[in-house]
Amino acid sequence: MFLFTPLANSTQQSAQLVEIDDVRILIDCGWTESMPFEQMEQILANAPKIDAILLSHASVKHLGAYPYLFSHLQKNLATPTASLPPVYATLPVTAIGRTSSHETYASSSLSPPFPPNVIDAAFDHIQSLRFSQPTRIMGGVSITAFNAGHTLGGTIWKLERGGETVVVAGDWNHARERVFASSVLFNEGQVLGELRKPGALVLGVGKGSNIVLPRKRREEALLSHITTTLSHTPSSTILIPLPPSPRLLELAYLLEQHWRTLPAPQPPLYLLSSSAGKTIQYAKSMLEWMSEEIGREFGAVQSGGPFEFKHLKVVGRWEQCKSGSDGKEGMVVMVTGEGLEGGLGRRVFVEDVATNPQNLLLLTQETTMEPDSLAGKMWSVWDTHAPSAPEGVIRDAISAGGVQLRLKIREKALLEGDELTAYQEEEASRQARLTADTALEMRNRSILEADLESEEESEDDEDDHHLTTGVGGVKREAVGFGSEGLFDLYVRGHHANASKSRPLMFPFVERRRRFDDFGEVLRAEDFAGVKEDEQVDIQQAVVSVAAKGKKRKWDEVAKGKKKGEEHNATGGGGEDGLDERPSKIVDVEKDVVVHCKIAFVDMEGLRDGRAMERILPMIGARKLILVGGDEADTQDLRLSFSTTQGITQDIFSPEVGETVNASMDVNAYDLKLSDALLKTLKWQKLGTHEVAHVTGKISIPTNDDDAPTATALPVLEPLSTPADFANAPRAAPLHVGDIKLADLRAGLRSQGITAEFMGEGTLLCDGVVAVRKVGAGRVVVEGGVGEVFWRVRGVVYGMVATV
Amino acid sequence: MSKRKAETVEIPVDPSDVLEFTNLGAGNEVGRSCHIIQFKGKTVMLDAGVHPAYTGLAALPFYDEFDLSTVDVLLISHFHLDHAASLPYVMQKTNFRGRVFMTHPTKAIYKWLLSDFVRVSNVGPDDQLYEEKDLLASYEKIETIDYHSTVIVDGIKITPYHAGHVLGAAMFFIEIAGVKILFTGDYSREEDRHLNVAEVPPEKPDIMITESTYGTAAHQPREEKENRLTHLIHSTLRRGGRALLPVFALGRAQELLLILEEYWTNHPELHSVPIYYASSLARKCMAVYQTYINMMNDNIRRKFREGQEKGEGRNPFIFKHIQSLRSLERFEDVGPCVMLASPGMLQNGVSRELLERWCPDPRNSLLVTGYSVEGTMAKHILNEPPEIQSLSGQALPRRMQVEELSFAAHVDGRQNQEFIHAIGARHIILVHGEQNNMGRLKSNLMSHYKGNDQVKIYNPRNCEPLQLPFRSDKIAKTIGSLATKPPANGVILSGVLVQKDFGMSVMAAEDLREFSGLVTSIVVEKQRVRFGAGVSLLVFHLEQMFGAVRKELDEEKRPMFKVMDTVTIRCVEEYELEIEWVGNVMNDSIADAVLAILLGVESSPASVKLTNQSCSHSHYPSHANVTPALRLERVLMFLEAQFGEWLTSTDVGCNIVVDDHKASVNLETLEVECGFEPLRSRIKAVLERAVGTVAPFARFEEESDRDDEEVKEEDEDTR
Repeated sequence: MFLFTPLANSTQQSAQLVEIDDVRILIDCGWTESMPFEQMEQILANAPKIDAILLSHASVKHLGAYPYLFSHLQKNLATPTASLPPVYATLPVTAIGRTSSHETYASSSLSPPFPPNVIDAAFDHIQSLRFSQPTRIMGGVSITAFNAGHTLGGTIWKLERGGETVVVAGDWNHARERVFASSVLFNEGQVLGELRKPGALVLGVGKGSNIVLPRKRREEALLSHITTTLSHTPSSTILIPLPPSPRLLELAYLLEQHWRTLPAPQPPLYLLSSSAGKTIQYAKSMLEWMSEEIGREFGAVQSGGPFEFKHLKVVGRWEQCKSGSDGKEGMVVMVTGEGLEGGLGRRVFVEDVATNPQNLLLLTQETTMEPDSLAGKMWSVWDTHAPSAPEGVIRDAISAGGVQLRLKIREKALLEGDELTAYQEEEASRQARLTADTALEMRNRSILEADLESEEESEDDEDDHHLTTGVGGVKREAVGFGSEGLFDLYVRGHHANASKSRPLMFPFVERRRRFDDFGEVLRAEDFAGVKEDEQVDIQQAVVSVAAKGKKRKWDEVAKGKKKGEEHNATGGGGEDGLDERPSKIVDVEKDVVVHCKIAFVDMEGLRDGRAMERILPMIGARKLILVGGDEADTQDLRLSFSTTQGITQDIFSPEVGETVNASMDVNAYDLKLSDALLKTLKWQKLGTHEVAHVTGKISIPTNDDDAPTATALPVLEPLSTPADFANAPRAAPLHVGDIKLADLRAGLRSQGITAEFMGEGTLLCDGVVAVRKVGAGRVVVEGGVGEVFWRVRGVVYGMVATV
Repeated sequence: MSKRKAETVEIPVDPSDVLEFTNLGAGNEVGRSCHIIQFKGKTVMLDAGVHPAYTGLAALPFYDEFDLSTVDVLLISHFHLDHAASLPYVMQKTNFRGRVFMTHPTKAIYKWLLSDFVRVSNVGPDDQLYEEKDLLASYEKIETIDYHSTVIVDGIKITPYHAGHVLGAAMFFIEIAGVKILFTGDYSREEDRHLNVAEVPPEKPDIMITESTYGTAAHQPREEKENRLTHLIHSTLRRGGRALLPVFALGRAQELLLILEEYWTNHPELHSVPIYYASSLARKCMAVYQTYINMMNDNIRRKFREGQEKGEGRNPFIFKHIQSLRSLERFEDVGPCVMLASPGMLQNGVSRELLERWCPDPRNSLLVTGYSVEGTMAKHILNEPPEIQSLSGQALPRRMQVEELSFAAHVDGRQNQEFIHAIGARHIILVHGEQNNMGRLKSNLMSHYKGNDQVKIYNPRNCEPLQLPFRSDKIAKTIGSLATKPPANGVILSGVLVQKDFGMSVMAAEDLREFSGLVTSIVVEKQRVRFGAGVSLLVFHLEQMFGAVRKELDEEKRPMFKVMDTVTIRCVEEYELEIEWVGNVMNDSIADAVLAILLGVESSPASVKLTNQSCSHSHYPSHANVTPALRLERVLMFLEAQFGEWLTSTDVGCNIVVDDHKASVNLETLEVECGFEPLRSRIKAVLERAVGTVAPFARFEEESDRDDEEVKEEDEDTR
């Protein structure tokens, strides 16, 4: 039995519940940046019953809510010893999903209702898979990941139990891209054998039957937008918002390759993101997941690799971009956060890009942008005003021409009065709690790791100004000199990963003291407070401080910077002034007049309507379930499928929460063929198949008591008695294989028979025998009695297998 | 199995159930690894190496002994020369047409390593196995396969597992038609700093092909070895000496680098002493090591991830204390240092040059970490001779300390046996080992499995095929309309058996398109015959032959006859008949019979008689439209002919008494009652044949079509 329930059904969020008999599998656990966590009921309501979770892409759409779900599952464990359901994803999805989740939550306007270490715990819990690695999970269900293209490690899932197979292909790309290989669903004109003929195919709708231009054309359009803008007005800034998913690799690689062809001096090319640097680092070690071209490039160069960027610079702060250009030179800035809702992109756009009519906002993602987001609004401005272009041409850029927007901008404000006191109290109690937690946790950590930690410590350069705190989790904490000296008790930000064990010791790290002629060397950095680029990290690690009774926690009382909190708790202060004190982030309404140009080129790397129409008949699914698209697109797609031959008409398009039963009702049982029977078979080869006509009698093996044995398979024996022959059904007059007249002609000629085409579908052989094709799979051989007739018939029979 | 040699077919099992294993190399020897597995018409080739002790064509496995064009898949276990170096030759210079698979790191290193091999193999151009361009052409065609991913090629299921040994080394788990084979390649079971140890696959193989390089010899424990190494190096440096480690550029060298890097990190006092590695090949391949971190063990992956999360982009293969040395000219030899240099056996090159430079100084030391072959300087110097000969022929005093430490990444005897037991295959084939080592291992294993005749151990020589019978049940899956009812005893099943990649299924012909994706065709055949006689004669002859003939009118109201519901005869024109049928084996024979009758009607004496005089009685006993009574009589006639005077007629049939045995035959139910089984079955057989003989091919109404077939089959039998 196969039941399917979409828990989300839009192009921005993916979450589906699959039930195979009694095994319930959640495929994807998506989120959209603006979606309040309270609205995740659909997923949470099903959470306790979930037996396994599969994540298919490292994007917010597919795994954004996974850390939230994980924290929910963790909290609601029935017993402390109960285990969480297993989670499966490919290696890149696990690695890049982790970094992009950190960024997403840090830059989101909503404060996640869980501490950030849950993100790490959640991703540590994932069991990494490779493609085509069949894995038994439970209840006889086996899952296999197949390459979906679109993102690094993007997955099409095949679920199997007994003879029933379900293929879940949400987002996939039939076309090869620069970085990502095309999906195995359609590779070199072929559908991978393992994915053919599934009982049911779950298909992502996306933009329905829309047709996307070839990749080359879109790349040209994108590059020409950049080139023309920069050549007309060399001081323009071009802003390209990208999702914090592996998709950014494709754009980054494309632009880098293009930049290499540009004459020097090339305009600066930036990737403004707090996580993209890590994504690129991870990508360097995951070349085997990418397209063959990338592998070839790797094989061809001696040093570096496809992701050693020469021109593209990954920066964490907007000021770094600006300082590089003196404000005069133009530049291209890719920024993560495709909606321009939170994070760096919004500020850059509002402060520096929007107001100047020479600047260009270049949008590349349509479906994952929320319509209400800033980028989404900009897109609809473009969509309504851009002149329509003839088919096969990409619509041009437009000037926004002074669109007025009232936007919420987040700004930092200091905590004052009651808020400050409340915060301090909260912080103090939390600190105490955390210390207790840490002490407990540390007891469980092995001594072995102590070496590792100290090694890392001594590896650091001497001028490394920060300390590794013994329990600092994955992030290093900066510790001010004035706080509690070198004894750092600060233990926040650890994560509860049991596998990442830590030394069983007090979290103390001894720093080598250095002396020169003037005494102990002081390090200026100790007095300088937090280094700028660490703020980004710290910001990510920020834990919300609840302000009771308020809805949007982050909006009302956010919390101080990590460092600020710490000093607050310990009563320390520093020179940094603002940064040192607890602050909150408040929304300020601002009017923004947008004058810049807007352009859109689809670089989403997804299948289009034409691809689906072409590939679906090749897959030959018995049932089709459409998800992940709005109603109009879904209907549109249904309509186009209804006119395409070879696509099943058993199509479901369930609403959110609606369960459809797509069980495959095929009867099957196993049968053992006896040796005697096998000897009677006459095999005929037909391409990769071999066929034989078989007639036999079933006998059920019995044990000594003459009772049928439960384990033994029924055996098919050859017919022996005349009565059996009498009762045997007569073979159907069918031949296996297709007869092509052109092939037949060649075959006849090799037999020395002349064969000429006479009009439509008729082949005249030696002038006396006619072979006609009437309809699909029906051939008429007609002629007088004579040798030629038998010979022609012999050739016709030779092309097919007789059963 | 046409490839099999004729003289070997003596095993009393179906030849298609025999799996044949042949060593083209590495049978009772180390080097030129190459094995062939043939089963059910599929051929898998494992490895394509060269023999390090020979050059040119002599180093190749015995490719002439085998038709390489039959190979479906070639799997390369790892990049070492004795496992991969003849691959360009196989792919470019022979009629090999199969697909080649290796892991990603193996492919990346393969290219650099073999281009190095092409350059340094100093044989004459005539003897050169292949050139750089052959290597590049072969490189393009190699397909990559990831650990744990299952690839299916023509029904051969291939899954690589971690093998340890070197980066990218794989054990292949191969499944052909249900027979599972594990090929270990070279493997190691000892956890080191970067590699996963050889895994035990989740499934149990039937055949295990395992290396036996070290036979039953035992390795020193890893910690001891490493401690000794670092101790030796540290004491050398302390006394102001230089430590020279001749290494093979790839594989163990990287592990040594990791050990040294770790030791240096832990010993800040050593930070002023440089570590060099002088190998351009190792430098080129360092990027491969930096890239395929995810294929290494958890230890190094954790280090990598921690480096990433700290945002430093740090990679464990970017060393802090170790420098690459491009050439000796750039090397400032000014004091203590540690030098890893290739080649590993000090034959020539950088390591030899440094040896000659450093050997007179007693403070220096030479640490041989690899396997040294007889006749090389490395082997020679291990005997600590007082003098060595330089490449230029000078005698140099040897005062430097010489130590040997084995860091080989092969299993030792104990680990190999433990692994073999853990795998638990029934057939164990030993390859890749010197004859004596292999023999010792074999006898050890034999004594372990004493009394267990299920387990067999083989060590075949090169080119001596090993044949292993595998009887497996042939299971077919019945699907579609044939399977609507659960299987029951005695039910007759007729359908099409489809076999693809060793999977078989039975289905109705009508379901073929849906379940197998096969296209079905119908061949309609029409023949026109001149026919001068009249319709009545036609009908007469057809009825004489087939019994009943269905008479109908076609759309144009012309008479139409249907014989056995198969062949339609139409009178299309005057003196011309058209016979039409849908072709298959049985229908064709009916049609041929019809045709023979049509052609014979005009010259048949029966026709002449029939048309010449008409009289009321029939001259020929009619075979068509016989009454049941007549048929009964005829059946009785058969029985009488058989049993003669012993037969007495009764109301419903007859009684037969032979000697003391009495049998009664019921001709209505066609049942025979008799206490004596031989007689009963004899009568039954006669009766059934008689019934078949007297029945016409085709009848109408009361009898079903099913009987026609019985009759036809019977008729053929009696003839």
